[in-house]
Amino acid sequence: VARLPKVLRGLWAGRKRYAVFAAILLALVPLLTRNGYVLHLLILCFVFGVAVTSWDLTIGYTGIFNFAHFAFFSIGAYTSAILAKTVGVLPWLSLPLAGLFTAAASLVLSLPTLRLKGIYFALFSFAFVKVVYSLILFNPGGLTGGAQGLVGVPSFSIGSFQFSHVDKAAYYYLGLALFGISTYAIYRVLRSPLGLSLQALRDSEAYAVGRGISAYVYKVSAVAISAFFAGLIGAFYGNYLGVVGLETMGWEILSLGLAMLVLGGVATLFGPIISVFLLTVGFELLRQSTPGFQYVAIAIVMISIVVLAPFGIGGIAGLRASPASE
Amino acid sequence: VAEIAPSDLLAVLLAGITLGSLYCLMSMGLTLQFSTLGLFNFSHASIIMLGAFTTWALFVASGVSYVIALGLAVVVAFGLGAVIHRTVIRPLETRAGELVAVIVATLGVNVLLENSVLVTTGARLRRIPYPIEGGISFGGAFLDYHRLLIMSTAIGILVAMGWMLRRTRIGLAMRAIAQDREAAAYAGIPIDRTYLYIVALASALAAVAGAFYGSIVFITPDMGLEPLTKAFLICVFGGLTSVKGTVVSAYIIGVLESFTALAVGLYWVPVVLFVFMMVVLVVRPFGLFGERF
Repeated sequence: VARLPKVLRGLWAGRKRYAVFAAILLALVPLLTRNGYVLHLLILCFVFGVAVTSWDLTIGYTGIFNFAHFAFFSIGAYTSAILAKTVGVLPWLSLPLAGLFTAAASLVLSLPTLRLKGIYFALFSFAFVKVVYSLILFNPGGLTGGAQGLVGVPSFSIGSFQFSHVDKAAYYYLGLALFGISTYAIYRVLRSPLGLSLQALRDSEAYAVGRGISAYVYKVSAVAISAFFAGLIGAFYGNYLGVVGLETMGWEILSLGLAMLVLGGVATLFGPIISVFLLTVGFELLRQSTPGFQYVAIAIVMISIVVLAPFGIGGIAGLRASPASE
Repeated sequence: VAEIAPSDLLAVLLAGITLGSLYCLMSMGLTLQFSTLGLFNFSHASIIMLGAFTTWALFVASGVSYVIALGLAVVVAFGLGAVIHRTVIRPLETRAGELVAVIVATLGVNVLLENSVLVTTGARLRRIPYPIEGGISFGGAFLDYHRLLIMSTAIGILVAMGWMLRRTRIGLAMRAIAQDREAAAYAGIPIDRTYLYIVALASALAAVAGAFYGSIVFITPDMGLEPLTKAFLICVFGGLTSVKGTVVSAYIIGVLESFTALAVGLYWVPVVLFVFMMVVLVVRPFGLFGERF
């Protein structure tokens, strides 16, 4: 290990080696099995992995509760689908564009509400979901397909190679890449002055503001960055399924995502990633064995973790960076 | 576009006042909780649903009289509110970052109750028939007795709440805590027990609203989410901590909603309300009667 170049040695240092090890293992999966169901579940894990870690940026690291995260996810999915299907933009381009559009859309919510106390953002983001839902259902200009949703979203292609929905390997690697990039980006954001300022604002807003941090600008940026990744992965998800519908922002996906976040432990970054894999598989097993009870189980997970083990798996594993302010 | 007669406008106004009465019952409890405990209880959506569902189960499925069914639904909700306070809210009170923790926990309660009802009873659409048939004609508009019942019950409860908050020990304790929690504790007010009553009372009010609402819309496990969204906006509009502001803004939002539905259609109601509230936030962030901060 000592003889490796500095960059590689950096990757092996401390806990990072587990992340590298996990990434290598995940990259090997399609070489071992082409079972569509296994790959599908893992792709779902990547999608939720990005959605949940980016959500944590607002809930865990900034301390503002954002109900609209999966509304952002849907905005990304619909934007990319409309760009690719109706306008004819290449999916490679529509994906980042959808992320940027979602980040811009988040300003509609964040600019008026984040000047005020945290509860205002929570309440308005709750209402924002309903607004986005109605707008999509209302189907302005026939863009969103209303209650039917959008079908036949064009898939990715490299040259003449078309990403297949049957053999999911290409989508698997794209999802894994997005998951890796997004996790690394969020990791870097958290260690940057921006990320540290957000955590300072969460732990003691008055003190952070006193040290010259603009609460408004930083919180708005946090929501926008979080929305960017939600929109990006929403766009990927819609493209992967080939169908975009309103269930991408329903109450079900919100509670599942929230259960993943709290079970993993808010503000622990890698904790939620572990719980995403646990819950995606657990949820799927429950859904097949005892349909209907999967949400009851999720609710029990949510309540008991919050009450009994505030920082979830991450807290137990000692992944939480800063101690809780008292 | 068809001509709109004055009697139609009156009918829409009456529908708006009915909605306002329901929203009033739903959001008053939320304001009480926010001004004292400093939190929003997201389990209210399922309490609204359970109020409707319990009333349906007793009145329609078991043939109990409406008044007893409604009364039992209120008792169930009161008890449930007390349980929610003891098991979910109280353990989180003293925790750092309790805003997020309480939201997650009460949302969890919401998901639990909704899905428990869904798996045990199925997704069949149910509706509580009007307990009193018929109605009165009123200036060319028709007002059925059920809406009249909703309005008068809401007013009755408002008067009772006003009396309770001003004249009874428990009401004075609630107001004292809202003003200054520390000072109230030093004066010997049992904070914890008062909190318990507040959460239970708020749940009972939500159940009454839910029982009435269950005659207007179909009873489904998620029927409480839509009115809860509006109750949140009403609380913000009313200034979050002012009971008076909440009452006034409940009626304003109710009337605004029914006229919006008449003018541009039902789909646009959430959009119009949201934009309206955004404007309010920019112009008057402390709401109608809230304090400046």
